[in-house]
Amino acid sequence: MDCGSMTSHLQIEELSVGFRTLDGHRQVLQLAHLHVDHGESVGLVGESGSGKSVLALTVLRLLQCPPARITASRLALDGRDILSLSEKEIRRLRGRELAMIFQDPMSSLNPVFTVGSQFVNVIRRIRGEHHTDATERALEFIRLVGLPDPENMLTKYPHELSGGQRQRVIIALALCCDAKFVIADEPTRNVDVTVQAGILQTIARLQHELGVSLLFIANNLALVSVMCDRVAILLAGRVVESGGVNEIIEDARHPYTHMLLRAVPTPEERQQVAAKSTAGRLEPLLAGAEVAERACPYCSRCLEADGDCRDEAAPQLTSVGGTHEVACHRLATRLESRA
Amino acid sequence: MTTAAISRKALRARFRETGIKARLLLRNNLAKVCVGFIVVEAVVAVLAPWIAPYPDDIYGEVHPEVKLEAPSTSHLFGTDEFGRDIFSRVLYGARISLGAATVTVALALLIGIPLGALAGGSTRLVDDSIMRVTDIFLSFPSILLAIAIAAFLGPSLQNAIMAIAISWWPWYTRLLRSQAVSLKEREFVRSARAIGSSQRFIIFRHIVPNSLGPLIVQASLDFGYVILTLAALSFLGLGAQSPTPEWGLMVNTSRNYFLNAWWYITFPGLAITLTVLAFNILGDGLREVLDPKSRTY
Amino acid sequence: MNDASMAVTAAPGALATTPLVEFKDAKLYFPVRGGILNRPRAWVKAVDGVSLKIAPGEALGLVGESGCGKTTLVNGLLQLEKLTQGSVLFDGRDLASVRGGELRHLRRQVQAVFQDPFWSLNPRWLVCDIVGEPLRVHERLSAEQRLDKVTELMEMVRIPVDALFKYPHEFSSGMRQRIAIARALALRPRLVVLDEPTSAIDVMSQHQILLMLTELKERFGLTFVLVSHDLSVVAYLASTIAVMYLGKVVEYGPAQLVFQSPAHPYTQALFAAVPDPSKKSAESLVSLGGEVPSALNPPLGCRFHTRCPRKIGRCSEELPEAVWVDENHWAACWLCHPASTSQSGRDVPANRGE
Repeated sequence: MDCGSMTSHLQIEELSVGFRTLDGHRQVLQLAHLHVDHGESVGLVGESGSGKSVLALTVLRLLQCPPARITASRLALDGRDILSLSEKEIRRLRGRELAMIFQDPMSSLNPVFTVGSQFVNVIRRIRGEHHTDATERALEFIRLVGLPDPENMLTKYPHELSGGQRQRVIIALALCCDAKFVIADEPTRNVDVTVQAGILQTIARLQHELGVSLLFIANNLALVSVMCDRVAILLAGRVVESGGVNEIIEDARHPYTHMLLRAVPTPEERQQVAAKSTAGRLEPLLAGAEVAERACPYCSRCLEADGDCRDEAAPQLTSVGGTHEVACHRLATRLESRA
Repeated sequence: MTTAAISRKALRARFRETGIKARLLLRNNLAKVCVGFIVVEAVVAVLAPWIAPYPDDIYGEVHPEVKLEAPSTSHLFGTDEFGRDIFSRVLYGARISLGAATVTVALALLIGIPLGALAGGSTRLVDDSIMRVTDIFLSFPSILLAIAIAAFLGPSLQNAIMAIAISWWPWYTRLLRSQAVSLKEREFVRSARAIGSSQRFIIFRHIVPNSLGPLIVQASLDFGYVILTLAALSFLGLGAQSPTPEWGLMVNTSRNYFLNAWWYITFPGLAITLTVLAFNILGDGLREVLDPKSRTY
Repeated sequence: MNDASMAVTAAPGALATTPLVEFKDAKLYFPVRGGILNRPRAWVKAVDGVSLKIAPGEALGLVGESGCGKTTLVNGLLQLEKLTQGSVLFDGRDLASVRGGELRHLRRQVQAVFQDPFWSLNPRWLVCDIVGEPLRVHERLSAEQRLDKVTELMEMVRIPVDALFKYPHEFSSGMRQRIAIARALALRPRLVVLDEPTSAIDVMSQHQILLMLTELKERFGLTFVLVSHDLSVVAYLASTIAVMYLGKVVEYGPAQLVFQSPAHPYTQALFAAVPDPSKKSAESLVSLGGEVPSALNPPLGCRFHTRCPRKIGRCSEELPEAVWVDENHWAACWLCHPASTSQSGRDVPANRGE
């Protein structure tokens, strides 16, 4: 199993996050292991509801602990156990060593403060610098993220900026206190594709220049493939496949990963429709069947699932070579790379 | 499937939905207590003439020989300056207060909903005209408006109810209008327009049913406020008149005697307080249940 | 007029058929009001001169980023907005001049599926009522007859019949979108507008729905107008593509041609900006500098010149005319204009393809 080493920047093992809701306990994350080495860029791909944002919030300890229940055998940043830190200690960590880029620039920036004052507030609180020094630092980072006319930018309010500019401000805010570990939670979700390209390039450039470790959360594999070295695919709170990005793209083993890679039907499937030979091929075999909560999260949608997939406990991640791991009961019986 | 069977299935589905919401509401222990209290009060209100121990005291009978007696086993809440049993009068007062609140809120809703829906769903001209009139009403503090109207109409319980209803409808209009305006942009309204549904159909079958949430919350809170306002008007002499056993009136009359007869002001006052409190808490509970954002589906 | 918007092109191989839909220099401007009397002070030019023809059986994909006007354009087709200038014709009839009964008749033929599977269905209505709404509005049927038709529709989209008496929130987003599709097909329309039909659903459902849409299109001979920012969905469903930027169509042609050899710099940038696993790093993505200009004050000349990486002098002065770059494929760009005629030897299109 690839658990990373004791010197990984972020190390997660046996993380379980659940919420107490009106209808009982809801398990949201069940991670066997995940790690990010120093200077590495790891992607986490999952759709909405897969638990990816919850993971980000868990690492930053931003979840309220009564409704949420977190247990982990290891959740460490640079060797330090995050879950055992006190409130004061974790607050020191945030911004200084650990930072997050949120997905919605509209609500992440305080609308009643200028960009400049938001920077200064953060820098002064974390680094205790004087106003002038803090402003200098703010200017430096605003330039770093590629925003034009930094002095002017300091005086603007968030609503005066475009979506792309706001997102860059958020990136600068996350990095301005020299945090070495950054979690980017779908940073380009609300942005047009041509603007997205620029932002992704900025993030990639900064990651290399500043040597930060990046956990990049996204909802599609293509985004992650241009940004990250390794990727983990999250489905219903479990990692179903992980490994090097190129490896996974060329040789995906889990049916869900295939589905993600090929978000639209194959030409063959389209032919089948045209030839009216659709029938059961489109419908998963177990649709409608009762699925135990502990079973494979994909089995009710999987075109190849069988009774075992439904009845047995969720598959564990098993190595298929190098760092490539897959969690699937039918790994052995599946043919080599499809599509 | 026959038409009747269809309606039955539809009804059953709606009941099931309401049942889920009711269960959600009652999960909270405090909500349970308040709902219980209100239900008991409503039952009392309906049965008051029959369960009151001294029914004649409610309106007329005087018993000067037992005047201003402290609470005892024969008079649970004591007696007033005419020897009337306060317990019976408070029970009957529930009937008056709850009855008045129901009428008032119903009237306010009856006027407010159509006006608000029209304002929100129609042209700018219609919207502006209705809302300016509403704004005029809203610019007066509601209790002042109620006082002015009651004074104009003459002091009586019925007039007080009228006065309160007249000063209350604008809030619902404004509430419904804001809901309508925000719902107009929703995709199901856009869908309905693309399908070709008429504007009226859209307003009354699409927009209004989805606006009811905040309205129900407000109405339940308002039950309490209406009771309070009615009590205030009666306290000021503009509402119920002697010998009507209205809580506010009783509190007013008790002012002269409270140094010697603490029970006289306490029990009617407690009745008002607890009732308003119960409706407030109920309203808050409903807000949590009815607000779609708090759903966990 | 030099306006490139006068370029109207027939769909591939369908030059002889009457187009099902035709936009003739359609303009949709929204007033920005101000002052005491609330007079319009300025206009947001959401759609600024679009001329297109859609043939029956075609699947037109409208592609572009936020603010390009694609949603507004389909709103105009669905008669949810009135055109400020120009016209939109359905089956030869100008929609602006159609009233009452005839409007209702036309409404039956154009239906839509919207983006948000949660809010496009009235949360307080039962599914059978939602799917039956078009039947209720346009046909005189008893409740039983309506239910029968609705049942049939549910079978078409493969949703179990016991779903009829449930509420939308009891279903997943994929199933809700299928309910929306069932509703759109209730009146057997000729044209279905799909406004971002899969952007809010999970990938498995997206897969199913795309296959289902293909099947339904074949079965009922539907015409699609697809609005999507997801190019793979457009590539899958569309037979023709129109690329829009700031209210105008900048490129138009058969899907395969446009994807293989995009002629307009904006189209090229758009395609190159999409992350795709074959690109190994973020460096290979193309990003466009600057911001999309405001639709209140579009730039003079070519709308795209402020961000175009290959602009020449003429671009900031004159609005480019459309020019053929291939079979049925044109782009509105000065760079595609050779000195005289185009490569295929045909004349530069003047007043468009009747």
